[in-house]
Amino acid sequence: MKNYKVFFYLTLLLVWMSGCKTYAPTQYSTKQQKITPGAAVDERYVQLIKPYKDSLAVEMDVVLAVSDTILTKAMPESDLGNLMCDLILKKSRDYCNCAVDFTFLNNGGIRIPNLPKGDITFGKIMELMPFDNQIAIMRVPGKTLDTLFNFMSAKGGWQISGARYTFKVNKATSVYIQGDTLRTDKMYTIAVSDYLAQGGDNCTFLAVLPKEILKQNLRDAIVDGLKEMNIRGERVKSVLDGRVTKTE
Amino acid sequence: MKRSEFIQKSITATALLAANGFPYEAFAKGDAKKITILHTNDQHSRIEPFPMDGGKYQGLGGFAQRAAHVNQIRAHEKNVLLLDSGDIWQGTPYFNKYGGELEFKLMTEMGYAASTLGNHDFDNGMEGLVKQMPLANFPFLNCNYNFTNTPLQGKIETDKVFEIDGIKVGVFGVGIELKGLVPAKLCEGVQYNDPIANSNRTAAHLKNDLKCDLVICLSHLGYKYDEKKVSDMDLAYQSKNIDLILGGHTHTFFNHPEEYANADGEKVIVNQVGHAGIYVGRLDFYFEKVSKKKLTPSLPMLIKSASGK
Repeated sequence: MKNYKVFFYLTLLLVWMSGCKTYAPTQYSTKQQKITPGAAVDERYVQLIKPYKDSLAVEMDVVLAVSDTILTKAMPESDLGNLMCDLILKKSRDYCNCAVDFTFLNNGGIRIPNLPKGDITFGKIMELMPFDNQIAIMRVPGKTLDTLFNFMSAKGGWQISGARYTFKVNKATSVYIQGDTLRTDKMYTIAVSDYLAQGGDNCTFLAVLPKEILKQNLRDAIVDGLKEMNIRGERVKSVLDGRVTKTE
Repeated sequence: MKRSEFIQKSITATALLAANGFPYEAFAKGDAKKITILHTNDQHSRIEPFPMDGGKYQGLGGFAQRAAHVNQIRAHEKNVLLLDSGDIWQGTPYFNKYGGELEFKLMTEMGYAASTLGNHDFDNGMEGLVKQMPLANFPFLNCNYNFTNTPLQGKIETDKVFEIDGIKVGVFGVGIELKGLVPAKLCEGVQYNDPIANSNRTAAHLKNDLKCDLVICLSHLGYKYDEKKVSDMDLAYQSKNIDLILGGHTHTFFNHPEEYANADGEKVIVNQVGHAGIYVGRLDFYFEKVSKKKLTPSLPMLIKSASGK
């Protein structure tokens, strides 16, 4: 009888304890699987993608121009950034039929690390600049540009054309616009993406200023610029000319 | 925590993991359960592998390749949860031409269980999302955006609980401040709220009210910043009740998940797998029945780390 009682209470205790038990993660293992060029392919997905791919290829495989070298994105100065800004500055002047002093590009606006050697297709430029950001023409006081160049310096040295600047950590130590030293009492005309013009990428100091938005976007400028080079029989080339320099 | 200290922690964790090995004994005996978490972030419309053009990532990634990999895992593991941490869209002409249709179709086909919203998922405006959402057979989760009186009102859930093999997995999403990142007209009326407070509130609800055994945060905050900006690292340190943070936005390639001590001194794991589907992250969690008393450290894992920050 005594033994029975002990057994009864023990059972009760076990039932109560199991009621308190719950699942908890006690261990984990982990793996980061790289999807490499030799990886197996699910054919069903290839078929799902095919109609989209075929229809896209017609537009994307058009060759705009040919490049002799691989162009690379970098800060402070890069051959890819220089080419893009040079084309944007030139075509902005054409589009607005006005004098534009300089242009700049945020680092995040360049979406691939490099432009390959050889054929530059429309598809590649779509990857380089996938956003449909229109070109904004702005009249900007030199004082605001002073802020802008310090801001671009703090970002690590954004890409430009039509100007040169040297910076130390987060301060621009010298700024030249169209060859002349930046004057804080003067007004300048700049071409910039409407995204930045409206304060994007923390360019809040531009948001308050008046702007004229062109119907062309930044990518149009690159595409049209490359096409023109090709028509003239020029190969795509870009050099570093020290327009953005970081000093210790 | 100092960086050197943190690296030391990570190295210790890896060494222990390697030394103990798997399969885990209790699991082999059938006493434990296993949930396999697979995840991606910042897919950026990379439908096909990167082209073979001499680029840094040439030949890597691709939906058809990822599908083969995921299917192979599903063939061996019965409890798989496939998740994404946002920025599904933007980056290849597939998005410009088809508006994100193909990305959602393929993710649905692959069996994604949930995603969160990245800043680039607003690139076609909220109407662009509303248009393609019927093609996505998985929810977009977010706990810190208020969509009242926007086209997304009532279309974004805070969290979702998955009951898999008797294990409750609570998943929620958290997003980055859109102002300054997304053109104002594309996200007009979306109210951004404190990501950490809202994450903790949602995680507490999942763990305490809904009794989830594992709480996962899909984050598009970004890994860490030099400037004052809320990151996954900040969230990890200040969080409570979150077991795993699957991050994105900063396109950071982690060699392996990292572990942090949260606000309660408990373990929280953070992972991120770069971008463009170059990697698929995988974490296999083993669950055992333990008494509640033992649960004081929420994740009494094999991998121990130096305590505190």
